[in-house]
Amino acid sequence: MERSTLQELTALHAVLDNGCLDDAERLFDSLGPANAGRGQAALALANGWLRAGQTARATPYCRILRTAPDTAATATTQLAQLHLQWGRHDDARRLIGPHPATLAQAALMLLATMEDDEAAWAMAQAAFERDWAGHPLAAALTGPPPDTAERRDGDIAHFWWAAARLRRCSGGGANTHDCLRRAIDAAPWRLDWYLELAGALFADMAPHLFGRHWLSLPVTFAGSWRWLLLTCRAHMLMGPNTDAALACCRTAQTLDPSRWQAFQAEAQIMSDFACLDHVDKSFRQFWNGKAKPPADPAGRDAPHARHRAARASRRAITLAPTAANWNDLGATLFAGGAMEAATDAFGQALVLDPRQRHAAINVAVTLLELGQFDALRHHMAHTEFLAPLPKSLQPMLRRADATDPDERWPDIWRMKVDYQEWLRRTVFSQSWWRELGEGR
Amino acid sequence: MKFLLAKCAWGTYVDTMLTVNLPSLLAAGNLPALATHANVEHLILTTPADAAIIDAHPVYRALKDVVPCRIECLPIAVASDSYSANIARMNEAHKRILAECAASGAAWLFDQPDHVWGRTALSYLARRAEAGVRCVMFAGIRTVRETMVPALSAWRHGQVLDIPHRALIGLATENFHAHDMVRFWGAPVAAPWAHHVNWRVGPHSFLRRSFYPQPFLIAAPDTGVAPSRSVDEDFVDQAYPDSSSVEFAQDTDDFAVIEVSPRLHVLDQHGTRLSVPLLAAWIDARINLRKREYFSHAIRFRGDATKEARWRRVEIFAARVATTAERFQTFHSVHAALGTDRPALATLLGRLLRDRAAHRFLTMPDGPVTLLIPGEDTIRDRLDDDISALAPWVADHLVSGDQPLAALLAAGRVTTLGGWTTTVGEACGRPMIGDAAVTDGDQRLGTVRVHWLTGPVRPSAYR
Repeated sequence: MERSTLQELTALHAVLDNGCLDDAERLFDSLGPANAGRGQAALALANGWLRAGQTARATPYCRILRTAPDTAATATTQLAQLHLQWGRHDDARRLIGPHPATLAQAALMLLATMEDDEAAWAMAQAAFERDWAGHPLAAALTGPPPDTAERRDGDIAHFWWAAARLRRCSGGGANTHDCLRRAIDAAPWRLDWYLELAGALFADMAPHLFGRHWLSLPVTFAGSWRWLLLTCRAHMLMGPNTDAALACCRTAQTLDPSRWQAFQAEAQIMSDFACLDHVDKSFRQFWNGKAKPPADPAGRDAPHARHRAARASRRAITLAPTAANWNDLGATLFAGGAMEAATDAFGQALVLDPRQRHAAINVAVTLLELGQFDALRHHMAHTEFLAPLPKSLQPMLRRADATDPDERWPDIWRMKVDYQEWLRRTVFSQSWWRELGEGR
Repeated sequence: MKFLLAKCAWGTYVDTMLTVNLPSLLAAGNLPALATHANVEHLILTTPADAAIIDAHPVYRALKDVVPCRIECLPIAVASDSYSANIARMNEAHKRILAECAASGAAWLFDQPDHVWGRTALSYLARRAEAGVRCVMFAGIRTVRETMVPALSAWRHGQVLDIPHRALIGLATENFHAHDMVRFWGAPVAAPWAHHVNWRVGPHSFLRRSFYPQPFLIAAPDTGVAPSRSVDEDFVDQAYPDSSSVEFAQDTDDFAVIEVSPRLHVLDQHGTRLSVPLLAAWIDARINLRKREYFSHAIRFRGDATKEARWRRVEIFAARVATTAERFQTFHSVHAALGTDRPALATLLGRLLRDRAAHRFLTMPDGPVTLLIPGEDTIRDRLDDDISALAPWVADHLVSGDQPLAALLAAGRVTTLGGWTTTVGEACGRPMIGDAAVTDGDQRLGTVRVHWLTGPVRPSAYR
């Protein structure tokens, strides 16, 4: 595909991901009937309208798919994949018919069948293996993906997408990621598949893989706030490359100032600087003791990072006053050494949602750090913790009023001493990027 | 004598190397001095793209005027910029350097692209090598690149960075990296990962003890040994199994190298102040005997003219901290050896090992101890005691030395660490220590000899 066409499709996908369907239609109209990517652009718009729940608006674009030069030959496969993406299995099966014409269609038919019942799935799988046995790509559905992309099949991208979905159904993992990556390589303008890859990596608890995969993807979608924030996350994981991460979240803020995720991302990045400022200041107070501290030409005492982090986090709360965001404000304040304010923020999170599992623990850690043991004991005794307690808190499970000595001195006291019991940290909810992987 | 001053560098490290590392090597007391009387070569392992940048730089050209220089390209593919990928790549480069030194008989003068050398540091290493020392270790300071590099500019003359050791350390104390700030004894924010511990001595001076020093001179190591993760992990332990082969640079007036790192490089997670229990727990979990031996060497970082008396006081205090943490390993070993049938004893030890004041009430001797352990009910009665009472009570059940029951019986009396002296005899055919009968003598918990008793050694009037 020509670079200019790729850029046009990329821009269109970014606009669609931002939910600006009318803008996307104007962009489509500007491409003109002779555009080399008209069919793919129509597919994107059909996808966008289906996601918005407006099937009637998607229909004209589905018709364009069948006539546009770049998609006419593969329209059946493209539409079948589109139907499957939105759970319309019957429509997909009707399109492909009883005799799939290509390997990709066969894979999509398999996917369309699998949720019906085991018997139908077994028959479809047997037919697939019989008809397509020996095809190099057929093995990709069950074994590891082959090293070389097989390009004899014209709708290779959809084959890999189907293979990824099938792998996900049988347990997920690295093979799912590889299949999605191959799908993206074959259709690098498909932002929705990038987001699906992010979701798969997050779901498989593979953040280190996410960073590596994401930054090596072939195309950038600088017009998509979601892509920008996922890229921000990738930069935070790799390196970290803080400058690049900050640039991404600030661009996302400019693109769409209503996205709280972009502000919470900035808060989390800036909290690392706030933490360093806090360490720096408290160390220099320790180092200088009673002596007058030296002048601070480097401005290290300025609470710049802490204020920026807190301001961004409060902006996120203004846009989305959720318990998770209040928790993240607390974590930001804790990192900058503002312990009392952090306690208040965590407390507000628990008012909104008493089951906010991060805030419940973060309050306890902060009270421990402040040395407020009475308040800490009260909190420990009256809180349901929905996540494992950090080692620093486990000794606080002691109940001085218990008559049974084993309850007064619970298990942790008998266990091997762990130096991490001296760790004091609060945790962010990480909701701002998790939800991106869920398509929210 | 042959020396190879070798390092690897790529990416953002190249700029740091060209800005501060190579200029510091050009100080008169470093490579120029070495070149006058030794066979020395400078080697950089890097990527093809970075090789071109390095070769074209004026500081590298200046270096080539002083010593023979070589740039070699790394054959491994650059797959990722992640921290672990960089470490793996660095290890491969270090293996290559070691192989070359083994083949040529050269001693490796270990360098990193973010090192800044004091003006006579290399001369010191060369003197030690010529005196027959095979390995010299040191634990340098990490400083903030963004502020340290501008601060060094006052010592730059053309392509040369020539800075006296005290000035270098003085500047370093004004530009500490957080990585080092959080490992100072007494600092309010500390990291639980006690790779090293520092004690402030003067306005620009401090003392350091490190579990993970780096080798700066590597000569004639045992063959076939390669670094697993980095040269400060376990390479020296294996390359020089006899610790007497390893010498420590213990005063920055002799040898001084600092590192410059980006401010956000390797963020530590933080906790409360460093303490004896934390240090003891870290040693128990992560530190082998060899690393404990490294920690016994204190390094003076001199950035000012602090008086000797002050240095001695801090060194004595630091040694006491280290010794106490080391001696509490006895309790860690006993704690680890306990099964589930002694929960009260396990809880008591758990308290002792976690309380930051315990060591103030319980001074452990050098060498082995023997435990006189009463029954679970007796221990359970003490569990709620304040540590100021609990720790002395424990001291009354510890005896200095490895004391078999027969020896105690033969002596007829025993004095505990708490200073309580009582009789050892027999009653009704059973050995007795004070008022308590020995139910099971000469048992072992970990490496510690234990005599199990029916009750406390000291009468109940103890309280």
